[in-house]
Amino acid sequence: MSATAEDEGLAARAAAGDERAFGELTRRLLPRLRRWALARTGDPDEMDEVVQETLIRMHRALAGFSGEARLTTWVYRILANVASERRRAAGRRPSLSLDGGGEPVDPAATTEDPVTSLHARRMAAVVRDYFETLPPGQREVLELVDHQGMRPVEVAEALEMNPVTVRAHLFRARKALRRRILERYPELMEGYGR
Amino acid sequence: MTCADALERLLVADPAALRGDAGADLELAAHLEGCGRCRTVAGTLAAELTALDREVEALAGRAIRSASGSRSTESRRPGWWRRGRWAWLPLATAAVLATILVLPRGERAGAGARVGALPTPRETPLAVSLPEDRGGVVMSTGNPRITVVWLYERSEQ
Repeated sequence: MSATAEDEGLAARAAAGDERAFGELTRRLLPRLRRWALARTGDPDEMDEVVQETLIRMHRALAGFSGEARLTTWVYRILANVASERRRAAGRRPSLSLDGGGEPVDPAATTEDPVTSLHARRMAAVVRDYFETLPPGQREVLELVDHQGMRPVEVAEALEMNPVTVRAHLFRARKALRRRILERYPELMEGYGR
Repeated sequence: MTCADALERLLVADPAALRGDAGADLELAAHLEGCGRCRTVAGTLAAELTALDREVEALAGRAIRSASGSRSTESRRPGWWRRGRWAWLPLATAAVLATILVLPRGERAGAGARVGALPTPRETPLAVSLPEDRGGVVMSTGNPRITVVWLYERSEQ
């Protein structure tokens, strides 16, 4: 049985009142929901809030899940609504807070090996670019297509967006992020006439 | 295809094409096959994007653990309780958080949900053991001193 079919089976049991199925479904969906919420909000604390509210709403609405859309598409739509509502309510732009346990790279904490240190600095810069340079809409599409393996048409459905817009976001995001990566390797760009 | 064309293609190609997958982009794959310089660029992009993926995964997935109990216990709660149990969820979450944050370590031992000593930040995730007759999910947060615990009653089977 595919992962999707398993998820939908669990959803059907959860909708019928099987709380254990809901617990299992939550466990399976959590990693994807957290990644997407992080990509959407750019803020680990806000990510936790959005995911929690999404799961509560999902539980309340499961009985109404018709199965016309894929379960993940349906849940992502809930998450998108939660994130949008919270953002409107807060009236602030999302920002990445890298303080606390989730800091991806701490160059000062790395060894003194200059190669390792250089790599850590480059990686920290790539992570910053991902969260700070890419507009949230582009980052979200990039996350769903390139990292979570959704097809652009599914992303369009989940985000209630035109598929052409999804593809435009995807190409802009890839181009911007990869350009920034290559800027840190000027030796590789020699001879390309840029 | 020139190297400049290949570079333009590498900037927007599917991740699989960066690894020279002909199924993703046949023309680009043919160019990479014969061009060491473009192959190095493609490999660098692929490696950096893979590393980024791992970093984002680490940021998003800190210590996600399911703590659903394995034993099914038939609920003997009345119907009104079962119907309304999820309404208690925010209160239950707040109560668990309050227990974790407010009570001194000694008083926590032996409480309904056994909670281990507070970890040193960034070292050990908070250890939470759930009662056997309840399901639950343990979620870490951005603050290593705070763990969100969802508890729910099991429904009758």
